[in-house]
Amino acid sequence: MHWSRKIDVFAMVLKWRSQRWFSAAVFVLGVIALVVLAYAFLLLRTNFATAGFSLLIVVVLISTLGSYVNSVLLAVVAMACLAYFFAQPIFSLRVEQEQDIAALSAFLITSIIITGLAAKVRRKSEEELRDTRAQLTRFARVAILGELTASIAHEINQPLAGVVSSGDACRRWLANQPPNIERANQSLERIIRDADRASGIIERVRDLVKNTSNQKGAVSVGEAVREVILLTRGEAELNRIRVDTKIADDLPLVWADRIQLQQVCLNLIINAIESVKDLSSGPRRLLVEVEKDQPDGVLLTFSDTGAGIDPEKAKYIFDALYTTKPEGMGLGLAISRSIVEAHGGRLWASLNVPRGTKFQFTIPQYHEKTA
Amino acid sequence: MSIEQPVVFVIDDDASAREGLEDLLQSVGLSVMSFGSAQEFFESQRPDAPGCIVLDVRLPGTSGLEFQNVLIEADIGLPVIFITGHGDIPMSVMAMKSGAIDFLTKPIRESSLLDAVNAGIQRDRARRQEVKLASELQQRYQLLTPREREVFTLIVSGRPNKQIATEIELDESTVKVHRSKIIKKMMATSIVDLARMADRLGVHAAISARSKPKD
Repeated sequence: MHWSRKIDVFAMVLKWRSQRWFSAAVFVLGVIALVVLAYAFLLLRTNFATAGFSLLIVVVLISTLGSYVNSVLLAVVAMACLAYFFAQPIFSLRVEQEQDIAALSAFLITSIIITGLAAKVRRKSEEELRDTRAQLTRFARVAILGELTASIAHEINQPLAGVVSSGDACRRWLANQPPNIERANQSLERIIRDADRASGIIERVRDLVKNTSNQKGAVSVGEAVREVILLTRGEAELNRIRVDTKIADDLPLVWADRIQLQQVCLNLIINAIESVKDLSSGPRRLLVEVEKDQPDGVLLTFSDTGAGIDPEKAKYIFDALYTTKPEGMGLGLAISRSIVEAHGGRLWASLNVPRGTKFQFTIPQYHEKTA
Repeated sequence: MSIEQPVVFVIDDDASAREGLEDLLQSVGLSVMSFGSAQEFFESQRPDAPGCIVLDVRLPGTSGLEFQNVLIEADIGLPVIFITGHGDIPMSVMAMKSGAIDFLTKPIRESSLLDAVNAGIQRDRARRQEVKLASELQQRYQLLTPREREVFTLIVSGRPNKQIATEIELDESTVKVHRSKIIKKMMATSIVDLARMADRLGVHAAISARSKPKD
């Protein structure tokens, strides 16, 4: 099995375990196992100690699943089986001999300690899983930014060009006889504005690289998407691709990790640029639409006029390590999908008409109670 | 002649870069008109003055080189100075080959920009002067009668009056009258001057059938 799918199966089991029906089923199965085993030992005429140790094994095994309630209840059930089938008088639940008391204590103490240890181990592995996922997600994000270096440099260079020209102008206004203070001031104001703009871009890039995970909050999708488009604008320009955006005004806020949301958008935009980039003819376009999704939430659509997806391969595109790009790692779409799903949304691909690919995803709306 | 106030047209889709350039050019006393897109430029009312265009090569919609072609098609003779945010060499080679004044990389050095702009304005002045002169000459040439044009062609081909008279079957004295009228109408200072004008006008002596000696 693929390693990424292993992680998914593991995560699925973790999810089940937290549900009530899973605990109930384990309890029922445990009781049946204990009763059947005790009855079998009775038929085999084994002694109290052998039966006791065998039942202890069952209790220990079930304790590893990590539920204190189940462990204690099953320890008591095991003790009851022992008392019922083996301790004199047989077929009664009376507990009077000291060996019964000792057995009950042994069952209880063992099951509680095992449960505690198992929970600790599980917590640790869950943490590790979470960390690994967060790191993988961040790694993929940094990798995308790497592809965008030229674009980002261009985006920072534009305001810097403004700063330099305005600075030169300012010097000349001051050197005039008499100095034109008003115009010099205007130049200075623009210098400050442009420098702010440049530092804003750097800040956004730094946010994307930062090692943060799962900081969810109320996010304005329109604004987050606009920032991403700004970062990729140079890349589109370099490849002579026209990027149009249609962002609805009445968008609800969504409950999301802003950076991860932007990561998904970055991914889809870069994919679109790559699929349009090498076209020799036809329109070179990317349309980004953000609109209200019914009944609630936001729908984002990225339609390109690129080469499109081979229908044969369409089912693999969201698999980890599947890639059609020579230098791609095949993580982008897999991670994008897991991010979107972790937000309670859905990501899918379809054919764009008349040509190209359309990627869409939804993000549920922010409600007061979600917070 | 009066020196008209030159105008620089700045076309850049990035507001920071565009406003900076506008300010810098204004600070050296130039008039500036700036546009966020090529389309805005083409749709604008431009003053009839010498000038040049400072253009970002990577405009959304059209590339700088496509823009240059449209300029040529629209018969706008303004020289172009390309600027780019991407240091992109193949593009700069193409731009220079297609007659750009210069290709500058952002952030732009003040001195290279001003040098390029001045060179552009000068080139445009010379071009406009050329166009103006040509149209004046054309106007003067239009004033000549058909007969005078005929004589004009023969004079600038270096034929003496006598030969001209024989060729078009006129009196030598009539040819002389035509000659002085032509010089007056064309405002020429000498026959050499007249010959230069003929060059500009593209008037060349046709080797007419009449130039053959008669029996």
